[in-house]
Amino acid sequence: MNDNVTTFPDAPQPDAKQIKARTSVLKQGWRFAVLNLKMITMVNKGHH
Amino acid sequence: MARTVIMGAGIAGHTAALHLRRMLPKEHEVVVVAPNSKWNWIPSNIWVGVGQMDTKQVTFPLAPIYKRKGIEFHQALATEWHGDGSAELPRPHITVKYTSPQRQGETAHLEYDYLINATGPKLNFAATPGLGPDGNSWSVCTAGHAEQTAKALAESIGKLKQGQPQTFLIGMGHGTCTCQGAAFEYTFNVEDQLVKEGVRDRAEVIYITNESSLGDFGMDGMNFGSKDGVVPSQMFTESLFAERGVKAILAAHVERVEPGAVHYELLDGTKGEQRFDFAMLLPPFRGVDLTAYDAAGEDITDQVFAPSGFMKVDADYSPKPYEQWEASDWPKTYQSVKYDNVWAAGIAFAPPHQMSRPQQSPNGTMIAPAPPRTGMPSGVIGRAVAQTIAERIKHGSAGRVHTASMAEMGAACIASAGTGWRDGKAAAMTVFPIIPDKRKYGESGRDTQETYGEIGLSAHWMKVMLHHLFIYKAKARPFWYLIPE
Repeated sequence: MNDNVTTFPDAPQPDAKQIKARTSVLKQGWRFAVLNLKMITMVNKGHH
Repeated sequence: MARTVIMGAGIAGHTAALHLRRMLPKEHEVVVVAPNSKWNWIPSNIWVGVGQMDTKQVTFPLAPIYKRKGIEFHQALATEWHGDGSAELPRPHITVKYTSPQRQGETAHLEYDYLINATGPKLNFAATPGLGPDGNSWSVCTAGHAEQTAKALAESIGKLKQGQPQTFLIGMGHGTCTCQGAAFEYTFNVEDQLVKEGVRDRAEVIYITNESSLGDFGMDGMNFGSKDGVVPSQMFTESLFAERGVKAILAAHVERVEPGAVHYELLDGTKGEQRFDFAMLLPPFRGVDLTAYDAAGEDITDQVFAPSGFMKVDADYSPKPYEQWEASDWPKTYQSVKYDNVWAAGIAFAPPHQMSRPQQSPNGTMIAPAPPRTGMPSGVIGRAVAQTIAERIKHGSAGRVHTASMAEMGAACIASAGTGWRDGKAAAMTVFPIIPDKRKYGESGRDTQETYGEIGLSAHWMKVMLHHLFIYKAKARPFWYLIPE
């Protein structure tokens, strides 16, 4: 292995609950709605 | 009657053309000059590059859209800009060379009252010997490049299936590249593809970048607000790399690409070599080759363009140290420094400086990501410039000047990390404002309520939705203008 190639052993890792939440249709359906709302707010804030 | 010529039909130019046509009565002409016959939704090229989409799903012909909307279209490349006119043609005009099969090689002069430079970047593969599809690495910058890249990727996956280990090197092909987000996305889509093909265990995936730390994205990093406090984008990104087993070479300037190996220099001046079986490396950008002349025919390119080839606009270009950079240095109206009837939109404007701290190696090599200004900001700037021109045409000098400072707007980046309706993954990141404003938001320079990141299936759905939404908008389908940039 090249010495300049970095791995990230100290980086925080998601736990099993977080990984499951990332693909839960119910949870992600809610996050999809929240993400849309947040983005619309941000877009409106930046348009002059 | 006023005639507006728009050079370029990418996100900024096409957005400006459609809005101008919508806002102006028919007696005013809107003219688009672009060397390509097709519009390309570039963010989805990464899916073409892994074989999940074909080029027809990310491109469409421009001519039928422009015919339907009453926009004059010239498939041609602008080569000369005569902002004061010339001895043979006193009105301001540009000289173009046609690229369409029917008129290949013909030249023409296109007169204008107003001009928008939305030419985007020149993909500067020549900056790094051996870089690019004509050299020893692949690219996803255009749909055509991405299609070639997908074939090369499939070949490498085939070799993995035959038991041959493969190293995939993805990232930035020069120390001054931008668009780290695209390389990041492609890295994780390749990794996802390797998992789906059942060959991940025999593959090494390495991301090579000019960022001094992961999560910089050419924006000096971000601090994401969350219910648990502030999470630096570095931690957010490193976590994803560790989770997916992707390794990285940081703060690297790729010096040359040979068959099967890149040679690079790091910020500390050390040199290294990384072997690969498959490499997708993005090129640095520069302004397109457009020469400007005054009425006497003297070359005034250096008066209107920065040395990078991008157009100088209403920004503060005075050189100053990183600590003195201000959000107010960034342009607001995008009007040319020399001509009050000319604007630059999207990537074509010259940024006053980087966002990330500029750094160089002891050998004097610049290793500093250029500031990103693609996607959302390009569209917003294109619309603002179109609004300003429409106001000027309708109300003269009393018309409202619209602004779109990147220091006052946010941006969203949905970085795909794998496809699939039930198992797709993406990182949704938003930032507000794009340009850090330490006077307004303190040391982080950004609003941590509006700056956040999360990973999940919902972000993948969002990416798919935006793909369809923006192609619908670009095709100028009914009520297209209600979709924000």
